[in-house]
Amino acid sequence: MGCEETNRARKEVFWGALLSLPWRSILGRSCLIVIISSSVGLLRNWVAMPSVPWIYERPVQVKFSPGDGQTSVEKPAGTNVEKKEVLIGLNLEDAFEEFNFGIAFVDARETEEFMKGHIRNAISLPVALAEQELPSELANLNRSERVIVYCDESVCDSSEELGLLLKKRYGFEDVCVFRGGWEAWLNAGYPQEGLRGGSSS
Amino acid sequence: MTEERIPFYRHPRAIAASRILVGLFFLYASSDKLFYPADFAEAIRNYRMLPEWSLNLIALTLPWVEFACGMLLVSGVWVRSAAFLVSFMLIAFMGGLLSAVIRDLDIDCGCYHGASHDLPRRVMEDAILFWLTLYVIVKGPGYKLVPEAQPLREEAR
Repeated sequence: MGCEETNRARKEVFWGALLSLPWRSILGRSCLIVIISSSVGLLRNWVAMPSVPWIYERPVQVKFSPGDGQTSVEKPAGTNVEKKEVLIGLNLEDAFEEFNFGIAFVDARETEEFMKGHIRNAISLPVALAEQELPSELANLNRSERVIVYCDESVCDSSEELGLLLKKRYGFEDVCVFRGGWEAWLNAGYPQEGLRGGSSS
Repeated sequence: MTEERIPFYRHPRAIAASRILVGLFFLYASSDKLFYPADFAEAIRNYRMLPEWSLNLIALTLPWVEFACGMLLVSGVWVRSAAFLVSFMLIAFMGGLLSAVIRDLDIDCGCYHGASHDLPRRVMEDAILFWLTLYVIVKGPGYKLVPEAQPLREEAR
């Protein structure tokens, strides 16, 4: 009973304190903050070269098909292309299509995880290993051929890391990343091997 | 004379720590978006909630509001107004994130540089920040490094 009363008293104090605040000045100043900072943002964009248009325009979609070379991407205004170091991303359907074309898949996960299960015919190459040497299957590959790198799922970064390594250090010209990774491939029931010691299609 | 012991949660330094924490978070969150508004517009677009024409306008202005609020919270100026705006933004962010979680969207949340795709975690972060912000709204700036100037009349005395 005493505890309930204390809680009620506390709630009343909280709401009392909230209601007794100088809301008029708070709201007035908030409006001022929004107006000034938004104006600064718009002004900064107006000064910037090139500036971003006020009304959104869809970026031009680049369609890739097997055999396409790397497409050079012009830096659009207000984007950070350097940070992303664009590696072409492939979704599940595209990756499966490439798989059927016989394109090489490279597994960026640790060897133990690779042993548990991987995309059929994929080459295991954890990032740490790739920093030392290339496995012979990859070393013998023509550098202009497409290579698809994947890791666990869409949020893992090792595929991007390995992809950039293959591109920059080993000179592979056409490196893509399969965004869905092993998880999406497994869920789709596409050809894999190593799972529970067997293989499936 | 014995000084009354102030509970931890009412201590001016605890209140100041809360506002500085929220302020620094907003400063960090806005830092990337300030310079790459087009990337941020794409991140907002991925939520598929707002009309396309509004995306660039939001991406050009919202990061600057975040930045201004962060600066004000850290410096201890107009704290309640800045905290009020921050709480407003946090409610909007949580709404967007929750709707993305419900629709099972696997998207870059556009929260800050380095944030993973783990949207439920981002909702939790925003909820914690929201409570800290409410606390700041009610309690005010707390401890201030630079005390406010005394009114002139006081000095004349």
